Amino acid sequence: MVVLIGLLLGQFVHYGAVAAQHHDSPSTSALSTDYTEHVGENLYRWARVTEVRPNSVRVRSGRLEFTLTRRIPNVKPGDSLQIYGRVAPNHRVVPIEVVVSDSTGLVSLYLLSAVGLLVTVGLFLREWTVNWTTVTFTARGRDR
Amino acid sequence: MPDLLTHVLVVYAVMTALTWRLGRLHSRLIPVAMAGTVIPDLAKIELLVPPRVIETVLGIPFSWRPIHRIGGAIVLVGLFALLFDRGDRWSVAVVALFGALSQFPLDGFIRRANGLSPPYLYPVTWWQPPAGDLYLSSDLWPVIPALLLAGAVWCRDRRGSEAG
Repeated sequence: MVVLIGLLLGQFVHYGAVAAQHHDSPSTSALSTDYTEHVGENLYRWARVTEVRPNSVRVRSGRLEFTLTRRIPNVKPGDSLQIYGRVAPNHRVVPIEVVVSDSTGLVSLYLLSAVGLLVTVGLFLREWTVNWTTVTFTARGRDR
Repeated sequence: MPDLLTHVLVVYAVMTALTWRLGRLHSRLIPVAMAGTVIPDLAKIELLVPPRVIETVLGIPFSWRPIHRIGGAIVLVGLFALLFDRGDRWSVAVVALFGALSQFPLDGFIRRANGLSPPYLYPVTWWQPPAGDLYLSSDLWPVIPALLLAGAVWCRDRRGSEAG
C-alpha cells in the first residue's frame, strides 16, 4: 500500500512539474506571472461566461479573466465555454474555435451523474458488505 | 466525460454480457466494475482542493490530473482492490481496472475546441489522441442509448436467470 501511495504522489508532483512543457497552451500560473510574454501563443481553456457584450464576451477561467474579441452566438452568463484561440494583449483572446456547454446541460449532467453514483453504490452494497473484523469488503453470503 | 449514469450503464451492460460467456466471472463483480468507472472522476477533487493550495502549502508542483490518466487510475485501482478480502483482490482489480479504463474511450468521443483529447496515456506518453467530436460533456442524449442498451441486457439476463 505504501508503494502504491508513493507511486500516486510521485505522479501528482511529476505531472504538476512538467505538464506545462507538454501542452500547447500556457498554464494559469504562467499567464498570471507574466501575461505579456505569452501574447501570440495558442490558448486552450475552459471558462465560464460572466458578461455578454455586443461585440465581445467576458469570461472567467480560474483566477484569470479574459475578453473574447468577437461575439459568440447563443451564449449567456453562466454558460461554460471551451476556448481555443490566440492570446492577445490586455487579457484578450482571439477565439479560433469555441464550444459552448449551456448551464442547464451542466446542471443536468451533475444530476444524472449523482443518479449514476447512487445506482452504483446501491448495486455494490447489495453484493458486498464490510467485514468489520478484517475491515475489508466481503461478498454477501460469505460475511461473518 | 459523459455523465456518470451513461458510463455505469455501459459498463453494466458489457459486464453482464461478459458473465454470460465467462463462467468464472461472478455477477457480484459487475458493481465492482461500475465502481471502477468512478475512479478517474475522483480527479474532480481539484474543485474542492485546488492544486495551487497544495503547491502553496507544500512548496512543490502538484496536479490531481494523474487520477484521470492511465497511470493514476491503475494505482488507484490497486488501492481500491486492497479494500477487499485477500481472496477477491485480483478479480476485483481486473474488473475495476476495466471499469476505470473504459472511461478513456468514452471520454475520447467528447468534442474539444482544440481537436485533441487529453494525454490519457500519461505517464507512458504525453501524446494527445484526436478528439472524437461525437458529443459534448454536457450533452444528455448519450444516456438514452445507454439506458436502452442496459435495459435490453437486463431483460435478457433476467430471462436467462429464470430459464436457468
